[in-house]
Amino acid sequence: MTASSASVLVVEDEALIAMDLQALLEDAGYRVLGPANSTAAAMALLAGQDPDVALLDVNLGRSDVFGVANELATRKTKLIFLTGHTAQKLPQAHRHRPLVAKPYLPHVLLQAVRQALAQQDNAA
Amino acid sequence: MIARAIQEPAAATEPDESSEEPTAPKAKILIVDDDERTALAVRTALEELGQTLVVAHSGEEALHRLLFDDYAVILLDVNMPGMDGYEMASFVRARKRTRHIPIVFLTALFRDDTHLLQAYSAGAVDMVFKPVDPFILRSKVAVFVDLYLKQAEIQREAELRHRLQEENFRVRAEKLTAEQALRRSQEHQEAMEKAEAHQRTLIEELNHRVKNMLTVVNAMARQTLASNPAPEDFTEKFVRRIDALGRTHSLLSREQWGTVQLCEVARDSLEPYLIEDKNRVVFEGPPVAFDPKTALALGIVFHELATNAIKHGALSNREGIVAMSWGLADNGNFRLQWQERGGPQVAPPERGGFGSRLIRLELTHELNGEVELIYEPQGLKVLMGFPLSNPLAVAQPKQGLAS
Repeated sequence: MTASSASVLVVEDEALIAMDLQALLEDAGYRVLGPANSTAAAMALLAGQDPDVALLDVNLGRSDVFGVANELATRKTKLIFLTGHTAQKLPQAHRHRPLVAKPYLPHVLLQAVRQALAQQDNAA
Repeated sequence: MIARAIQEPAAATEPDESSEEPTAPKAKILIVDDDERTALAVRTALEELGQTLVVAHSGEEALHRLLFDDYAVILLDVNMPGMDGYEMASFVRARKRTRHIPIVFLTALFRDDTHLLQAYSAGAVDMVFKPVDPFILRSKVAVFVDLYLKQAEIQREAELRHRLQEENFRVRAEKLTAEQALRRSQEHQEAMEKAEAHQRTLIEELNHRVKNMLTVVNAMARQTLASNPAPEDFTEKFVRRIDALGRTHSLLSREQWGTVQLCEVARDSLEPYLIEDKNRVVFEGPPVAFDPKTALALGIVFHELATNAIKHGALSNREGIVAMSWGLADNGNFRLQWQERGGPQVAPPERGGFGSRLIRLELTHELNGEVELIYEPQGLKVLMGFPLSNPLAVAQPKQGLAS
């Protein structure tokens, strides 16, 4: 699978960070789904399609992203969490998944996306 | 004359008594007789009772004895030199401490009614005639000893019960005190743990906010650089954007991250651009309080609009003004209009720069609202609308002008 055809769902409530993530991913050749600022917005985007990778900010205002994560765990989509917290804050079911710490470095973020896509290729 | 207390040899029985029960208490018997032979005869007769025998040879000595000890019975010779038996008996009866002690008179006098009457009126409970019949004497005295010991036993039991009761009360009181102390210490411990947990939560939250803010700053830097590759342009724009973020944070800190008034957010964001003439931005709308998230988003929007107005719009000359007006729209959303007038003629830019993208994103992504940028010839008009998280935040629009 080439980068240009891979799709990445972005869930991030902070406008500036969402904008930055979108720009970084699009510049790297990915198709960005979103960015969604809430679980409801993400679910609406997921109704018609299965993204290859989902980049999920853990804290969404007063809520969290685990509703979306649980839904995507049933699909082929690879999950990457994005958070200022440590992995211990993740629920047991998601603790083994890759995590990119905030503040993130662009090459670290893109590396995590590439690795997720490689895993998906192996699984396929 | 010396009184001799004649003790039963108790050594044989003592070791058999268990250690918790002291030697069985003994009664004291006071023998008062000036005649040594009679005293010896009485003593001999009573030794078998196994009690403590005390001999006094005069009434005075007997009274002295009675000052220090309690006796089960007094065997009192009637006829003694000095204080006689009747006189001594009246002293015993007169004293409160000795009044209860039974007195048995020993008399050699003939049993006539006068003597008997005198003896009983002096307080005798019984009479024994000399020469003393050991069996009769022993039998009579044994009754009084028995009575005395039973009374002593009852009293001892009562005292023991009283002591046990007091001990019980004391132990219960101690237990209660200990329980109260324990409860207080547990409550204290719980309060401490709660405070520590609260502090941990606050530190975690602070840590999270700082990291998020650093991420925002990074994003701001990258996105500013993307549209301003020249270092001097980048630095100017980036620093001013960070300054605008800082201003709204200061305002929120002043209000302890509660709510802030819209005109304060606008004033703080626009302040660096209105140093010369504060009247070039006019506010019109009811007081409205916003939560921190909304305030931060609007702070960024106002800053982007102001920098654009300074560079291209109504604040780029000396005449133009900006009119900000707000209120509730028919659909219940909050609406806010930014209208520039008196600036140079405006034409739509060929492509939206970072500023206008940021404005759109703050309104749509951050505030779940919408925004329209209309480039009218007399000036830029921006129409913003977004749902209020708390509709009561807007005061009823009767106040009219708020500058």
